Amino acid sequence: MAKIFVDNQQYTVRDGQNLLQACLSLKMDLPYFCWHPAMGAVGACRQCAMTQYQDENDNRGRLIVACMTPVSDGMRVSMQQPAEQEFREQVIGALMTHHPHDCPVCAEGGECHLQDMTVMTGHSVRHYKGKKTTFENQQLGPLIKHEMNRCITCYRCERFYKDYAGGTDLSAQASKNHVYFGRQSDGTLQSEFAGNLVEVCPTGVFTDKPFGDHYSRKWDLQSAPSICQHCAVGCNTSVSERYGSVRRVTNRFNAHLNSYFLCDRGRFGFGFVNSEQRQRDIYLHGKKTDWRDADLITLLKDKNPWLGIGSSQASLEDNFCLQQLVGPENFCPALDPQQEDLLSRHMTILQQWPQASLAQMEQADAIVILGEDVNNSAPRIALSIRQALLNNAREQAEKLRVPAWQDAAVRALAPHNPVPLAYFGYGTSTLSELATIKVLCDPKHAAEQGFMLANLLSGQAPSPKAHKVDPQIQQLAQILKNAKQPLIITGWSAGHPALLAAANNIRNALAQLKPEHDESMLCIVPPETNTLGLGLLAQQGGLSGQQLAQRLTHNTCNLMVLDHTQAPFNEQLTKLGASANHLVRLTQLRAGHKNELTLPLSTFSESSGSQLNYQGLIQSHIPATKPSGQCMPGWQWLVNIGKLTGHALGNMTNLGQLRDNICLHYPQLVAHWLSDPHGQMALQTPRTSGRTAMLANQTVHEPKPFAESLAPYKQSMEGTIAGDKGEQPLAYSWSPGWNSNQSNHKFKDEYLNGPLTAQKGVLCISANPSKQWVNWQMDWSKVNKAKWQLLPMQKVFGSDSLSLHALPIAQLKVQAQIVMSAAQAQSLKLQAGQLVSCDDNPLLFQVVISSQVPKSSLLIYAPADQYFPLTHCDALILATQEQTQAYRAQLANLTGTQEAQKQAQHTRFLTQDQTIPIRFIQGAN
Amino acid sequence: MSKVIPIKQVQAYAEQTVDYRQVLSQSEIDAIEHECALYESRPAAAIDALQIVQRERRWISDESLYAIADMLCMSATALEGIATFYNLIYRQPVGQHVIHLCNSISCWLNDFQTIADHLRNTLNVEFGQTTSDGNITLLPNVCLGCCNKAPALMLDGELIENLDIASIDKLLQSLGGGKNE
Repeated sequence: MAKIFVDNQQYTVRDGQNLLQACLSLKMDLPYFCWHPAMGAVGACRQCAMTQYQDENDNRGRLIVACMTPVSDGMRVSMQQPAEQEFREQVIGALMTHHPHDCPVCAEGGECHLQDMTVMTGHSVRHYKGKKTTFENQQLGPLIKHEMNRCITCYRCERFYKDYAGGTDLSAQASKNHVYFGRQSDGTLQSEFAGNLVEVCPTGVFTDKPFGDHYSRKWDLQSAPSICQHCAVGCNTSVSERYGSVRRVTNRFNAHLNSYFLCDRGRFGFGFVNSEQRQRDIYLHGKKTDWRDADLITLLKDKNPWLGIGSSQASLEDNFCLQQLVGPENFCPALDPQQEDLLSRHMTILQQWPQASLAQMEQADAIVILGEDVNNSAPRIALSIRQALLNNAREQAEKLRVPAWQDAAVRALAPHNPVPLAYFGYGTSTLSELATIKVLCDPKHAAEQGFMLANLLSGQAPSPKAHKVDPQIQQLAQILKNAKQPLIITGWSAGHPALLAAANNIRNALAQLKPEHDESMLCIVPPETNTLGLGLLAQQGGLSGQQLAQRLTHNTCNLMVLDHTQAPFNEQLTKLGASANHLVRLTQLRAGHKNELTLPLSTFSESSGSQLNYQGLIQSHIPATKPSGQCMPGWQWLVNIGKLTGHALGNMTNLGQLRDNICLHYPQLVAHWLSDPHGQMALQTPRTSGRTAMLANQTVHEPKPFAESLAPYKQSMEGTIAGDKGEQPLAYSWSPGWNSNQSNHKFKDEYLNGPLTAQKGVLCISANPSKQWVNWQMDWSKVNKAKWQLLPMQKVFGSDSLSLHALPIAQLKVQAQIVMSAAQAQSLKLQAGQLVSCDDNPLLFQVVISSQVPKSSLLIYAPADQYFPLTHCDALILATQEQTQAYRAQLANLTGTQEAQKQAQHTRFLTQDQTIPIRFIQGAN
Repeated sequence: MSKVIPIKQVQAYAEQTVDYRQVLSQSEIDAIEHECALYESRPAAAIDALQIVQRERRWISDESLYAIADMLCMSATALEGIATFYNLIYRQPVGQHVIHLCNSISCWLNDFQTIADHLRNTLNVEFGQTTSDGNITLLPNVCLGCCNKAPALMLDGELIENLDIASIDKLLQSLGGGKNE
C-alpha cells in the first residue's frame, strides 16, 4: 500500500496502479477518456491531467497525466488547482473542435461519457472559430451504426477491437484532424465482439443500431438485472424496456464472468422476445382458447401417466416444477443418447473439479484446448483466453520495471513472450490461429492425445494403447509441468464424451504433480444456458430418451414438454408426440404443431428465473417488463396444473415458497436466494419522464410501478437506487455526474488490477477432488465403414436457436457449410461456393475449402434451425443447376423478407408506443 | 444511402481478397520480398511495399492496396491505416508534379496564407486537387523540418525554401504552367 496526498488530503491506495485508477477507486471525479479499466493506459487524450509536487514546500508543481503515472509512496498531487483545471478544460475544448453538438439527435445522449466529462471540466463556452471537419460514415452491418463526426479520437475503439478482441477490420486511418476510425470499405464488422464498441466509445460514434431504430433515452428505460440466455457462460446483463417492448441488453459488470464485455450473440440475441414468432396465447388443437376451457381442463386432468421432458433453455424453477409434477422417475432431461452421455460425464467431473471463472482463466500461463471450438460455443471465454496470452509479456514488462497497465509496452513485448497455447481439434478460429502447438485431429484422436498427455504427466493415469507419443505432446507435457496456472479447456461442441474424460485425467495428473500448490484450472463448456441445471435435477434419476420413447409406444402415456427451439429436438418431439395420448407443450416460440395443448411461456425479460452456468454457479434474473398476452412463467403454469390435478405442487402460492421448496431438495441453494434482492429495487431511474402522462389517453390515474405477479419481490421507482447497497445487483449503472456506463467505478472498491478476490455466489455442484481416473474403453481405430465422418462445427450466429429469432442475428446467420481440404475438393471436382448434399439428405451445404480438416473427415455446420442427423456419409452430391438457382433465389429473397420483417416490426412497435397497452403497467388492468 | 448489407462472409476476416500475383509485377514482388526478408514479420514491410508499388504506378489504387495486404498477410484495413497516415503515399492519382506546401506553425507565421492563396489562384485548384491538364497536384504538408527557412514547399521530393510570390511564379513556369480550365 502507498500513502498519497491528493489536494493535501492523505489517502492509502494500493501499489502498482496508476494515479487515475487510484483516484477513481477513491470515488473522486477525475475526467478521462482513453483509459479503460480492462484495457490499460496509453495516455492518448491527456484529459486526466493533475499536478504533481516534489514535496510539501513545492507549490508550483508540474502537470502530469494521471493514467500514465504510477502511484508511489509519499506522492503529492493536486486535482482541484486552477492550473490543471484549466488544462483539462482546454483539452476537452480541443477534443471537441470537430464535435457536431448533435446531442438531441444522438443515441448516446443522456448516457454519454463526453457529455459527463464536458460538464465535469466546466467547458461551457466554445472558443474554436474554425470550420469543422466532416466525415462520411460507413455501413457497418445490422448491429452497429457509425457516425464519425462525433469522434474525439480517444482511440478506444481501435484498441478494443484490434488489440483486445483481435479484430482485423477496424483501424485508425489518416492523421491530424482527419483521423478516421472505420473499415477499409463499407461492410459488416466481422468480429463477434463488435457490439462492445457501443459501450467502449465514450461518445456516439458507434451506437447500437437495433436500439437506435426503436429508441428511448436511458433515463426513460426500465431496466432489470438479468442473465444472458445464449450460451453457458451466464454473462450478467441489464435488460431494458419501455412501453412493454424490450429495447436493449447492455453489459452488467461481473468481476469473475463477463467483466466489461459481452459477445454480439448475447447483446443482440434478445430480439426473440419481441418477435412475431412469440407464442402469446393458449392454443388447444390449433385453436386459441383460455384457461377456463372445459376441454383443456379435461385434458390436463387425464388419469393416464404423465411423462415430462425438461429443457436446458428453461429455468431451474420451471424444470423443477415439471420434475415434481410428473415425478422424477417420469422426467427426462435429454432426448439424445449422446447428450445424456455427455451430461452424466460432465456432472461426474464437476463433482471432482471446480471450473475456473473467466477472470481466473485470464491468469493462465499455459492453455490446452481439447477439441472445443470456444470461439463459437462460448465466445466470451475465447475473449478471456486472448487476454491470458499476454501474461508472459506482462511479467516481462514488470521485470523491466514497466507496470503491466502500460498497454502499448506490454503489446510490444508480446510477440517475444508468447503464452503457450495448445490446440487439439479441427477448423479455423481466431484461437487456433494463435496456437503455439497445433494438432489437427478429430475429437476421438484429440481425446486419445489427451489421455496420453495425462499419462505423460502422471504415470498413474491410464494410457490408451496407442502408437508412439508425438514429440509435440512431450513438449506440451514439459510446458504444463513448468506452468504455474495451466488451464485445460474442453466441451460439448465436438459431441464426444471421451474429451471430457481426457480433460479430467489431465487435471488429475496436474494435481498430482503439484500436491502443494495446485493452481491448475479446468473449464468444460456445456452447450446451453441451463444445461447444468438440468444436470442437477437429473441426479435424482429419470428417464433416458430411449426409455421415454418405449414408455410412449408401449403404454398409454401423456407427454408434458418444456420446449427447446433446436431443430433436432423439434424433430424428435414430433415423432414422440405422435405416440403420446396427449401432448402439452410449454413454449416461448410458435412451432406450428396442431395436436397439442400449447401454453405460452414468458421469457427471461418477463419473469424471474434461475440458471446454472458452466461452473454450476446459480444466477437469477429479474423481469423488466410484464408478460405479454396470456404468457406466464413455466413454474406458474405447472403450479396451476398441480392445482387442477390435486398435486402437492398446487399448494405453492408464490415464487418464494417454490424456491424454499427447491431448497429442501438442494440445501446448497439457500445461501443464493437469501442473498437475492429483497425488498424494493428501483428498476426505473429517478428522472423517468412521462410517468403521469403516458397513459393519459386511456386513464387519468397514475399507474403503480410494475411488479411481477406471485414474486415475493417488489420493483419500484422509489426503492433502492442502483448500487446503493453493495450486495444488490445493478438494474442499470448510474451515479450522479456519471450517466454513462463508466459510472461503474462508483460501485466497486477497487478498479481492477488488484489481486483477484474470490468469486461471489453459490456453486450448486460442489467439487470434491477425489482424484478418480477415468478409464476409457475405446477402440481407437476407425470403426465406421463410411467414407467420411462428419465432424460438427458451430457458428456464433447460427448455432444458438433462440437468437436466430432476433432479427439482426438472423440477418447475420451463417448458412449451412461443409468444409473440406483442397485435396478432397480436387478429387471430388468441387469448388468453394458450390452446393452439395450428403447421401440422401436433402439439406444443401456450401462448400468451403480449408487446410484444417482431419483425414477422412468433413466438417459440417448446420444452423440450429435446420435438422441434419447424419454423422457419416459416403457420397457428396453436387446440386443441380435448378437447385443452385433456387437456393440463391431463396437467399436473395431472405434478405428482402428480413428487411420487410424489420419494417413491419418497427411499425408494430410504433403503434404500440402510441397506445401504450395498459396491461403493461401494474394496477391499471 | 441505404445499401444492401452483405451477409457475413464465410471466410472470417477476408475483406476484399485479391491474389497479389495477379496484380503486382514480378519486379515489384521481388523488391517487396527483399524488404520482407529484412524484417521480423511480413506486415513490418508495409511502408516499403507501398513505396515500391507507388514508384512503379505513381499512386496506390484500391486494387494495389488489396494486393499488398494479401502479400504481406495483413488486413486491408490495417494497411489502409498506414497508407493514409503518410502524406507521401498517394491513395488518389496525382499529376506529373506534386507540390507539398508546408502549413505548420513557422510557415504559417511567415505568411503561408499568401503563398497558399497565390498557388491556389494561379493553378486554379484547391488543396488535394490536380490541374485539369494532369500536370500539377497541390497538397498541404505537416512540417517539412526547415522552420528557419520558412515558408517552404517540397516539389517531387525536392525541398524549396524561403518562398515568395516571385519564386513561386518562376517555379511554376519551369514546370510548364499547369492550367485548370
